[in-house]
Amino acid sequence: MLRALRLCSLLVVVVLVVGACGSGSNGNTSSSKPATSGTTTLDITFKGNTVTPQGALVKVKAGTPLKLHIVADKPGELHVHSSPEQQIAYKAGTTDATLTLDKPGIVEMESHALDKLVAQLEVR
Amino acid sequence: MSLGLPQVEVPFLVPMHGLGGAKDLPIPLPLAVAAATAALVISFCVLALAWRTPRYQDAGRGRPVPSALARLVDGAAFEWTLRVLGLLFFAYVSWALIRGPDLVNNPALGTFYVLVWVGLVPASLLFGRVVRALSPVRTLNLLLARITGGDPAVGLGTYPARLGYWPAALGLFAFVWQELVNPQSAYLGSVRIWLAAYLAIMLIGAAVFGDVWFERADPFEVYSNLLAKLSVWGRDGDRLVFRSPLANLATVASLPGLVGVVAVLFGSTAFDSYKDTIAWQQFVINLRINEQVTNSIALLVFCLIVGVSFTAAAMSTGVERSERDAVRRSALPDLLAHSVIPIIVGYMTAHYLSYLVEQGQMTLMQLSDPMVDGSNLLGTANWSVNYWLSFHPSLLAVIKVLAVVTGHVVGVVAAHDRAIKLLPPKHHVTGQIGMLLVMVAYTATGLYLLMGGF
Repeated sequence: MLRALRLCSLLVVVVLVVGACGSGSNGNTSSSKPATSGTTTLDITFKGNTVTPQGALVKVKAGTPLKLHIVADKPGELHVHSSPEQQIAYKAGTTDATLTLDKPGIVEMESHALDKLVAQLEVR
Repeated sequence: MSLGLPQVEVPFLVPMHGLGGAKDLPIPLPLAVAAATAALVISFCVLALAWRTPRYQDAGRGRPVPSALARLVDGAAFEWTLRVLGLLFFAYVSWALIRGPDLVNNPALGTFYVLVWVGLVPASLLFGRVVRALSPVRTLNLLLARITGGDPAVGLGTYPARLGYWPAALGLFAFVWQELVNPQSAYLGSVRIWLAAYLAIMLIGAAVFGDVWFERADPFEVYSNLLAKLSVWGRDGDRLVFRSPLANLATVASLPGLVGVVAVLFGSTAFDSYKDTIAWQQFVINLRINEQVTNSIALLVFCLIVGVSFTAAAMSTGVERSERDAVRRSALPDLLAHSVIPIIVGYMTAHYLSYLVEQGQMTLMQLSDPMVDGSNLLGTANWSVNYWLSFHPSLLAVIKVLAVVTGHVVGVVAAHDRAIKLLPPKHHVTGQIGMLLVMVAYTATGLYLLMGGF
């Protein structure tokens, strides 16, 4: 019983240390996982029944505008499932739009016409 | 939220999957690792150090509540106030569901998926068996019995005991399928069909078996009654008592199908997290099979994994063969399944907290405008949603992790207490190892999914 007690106290100490390390590096998470600096612009191409990118993970900073450069062979709409929801219409040819997400979270950007996920925006 | 040109504000956008806009950020890796380690260590500390004689198994009595409170709660006035409120709310939402426009801001959708399904968790934890008290199908059955001069508790036959909770497990699966797999989930048509089937099955079942049917087959009532066992409200016979949540949890009736119920609840929530990961979405795209079929199979597989792993873990112990009143090995899974309920609560909290708070506020606003024509019947239409929780993602992550670890600890303690009652002394320690490992696996998987499955 006593040995078990000693073993457990040791384990609890280990957990506390790990937890402390965890919370210590917690504050740095944003800097260790930066919003990839190049992703202030997102290129989206619609061609026939395909879209590029498809299911990409894009990290953006809350409050910072994300430029969308959309090239499409026919007009359509991008659905941005933020709260509240937003919609971006684009025309055949090239469309430039900006999107600003001010609330941290995961926001999906979809094309309902193609029934496809274009990107998940990780807003921090 | 601002949007450059060209911009269109569309208030009624239907997502390809269920209800709700932005989702939570993944929890940070170090936090998840610390939580998983803590869960592991606490589990084995409970095994090695905790009490050796059961504490909660015979604690059935509890402390009687003040007699004035008991008289109020058990009084006909209180009962019928709740019944009428439940029925009126059901009628009001049915009006929106049947006559309202098929838009995603029709309050019927938010009420069904958010206020009822997610809201019943905190409501049951705080107030006990809320669905039983408010359930419109129970009230309709009562009224039908009054009109026909029958007894609501008596049906044409008796409910077969071996069915246990299995009808509820099926009903719960039908709900999570509708919510998570049905591509039509955010359209009124599918909700109308679902609720019509629910209403018919509940009322016919109650006519056949009496109102015990609701305690065994109504997915909402069974779910709420199980959660109520983690509240401080208990019953000693007919008497209303206060009981510690752990002692209350030990009074869950271990009927056949209990494992099925907890497997559907836990497996489906895990699937809900998993289906949003990029890895799964890419997999579905590359598979080139109908997405609905793939997701249906995946949902079933998630529930089966939980059910099978739990059953195997619960049975992975030595049992006494010779004694007359020895517990049969095959009975163990249902006798231990109550211990998964706190784990489910912890994970549900982590998964749905911001959804309930934010989508819930949205639904309360929408409830003022059931026909989506700009009216403000309840005076809530001009509220605005408070997104404070989403703007504090670190706090949200800590709350989620604490909820998961708390649920895990309560579950492990509940399983330990039950195991030392059921198992012969020589298997007290070794007999619990399987259960502990499977619970640690559930918690670690939950944390992994909360990290976004990276």
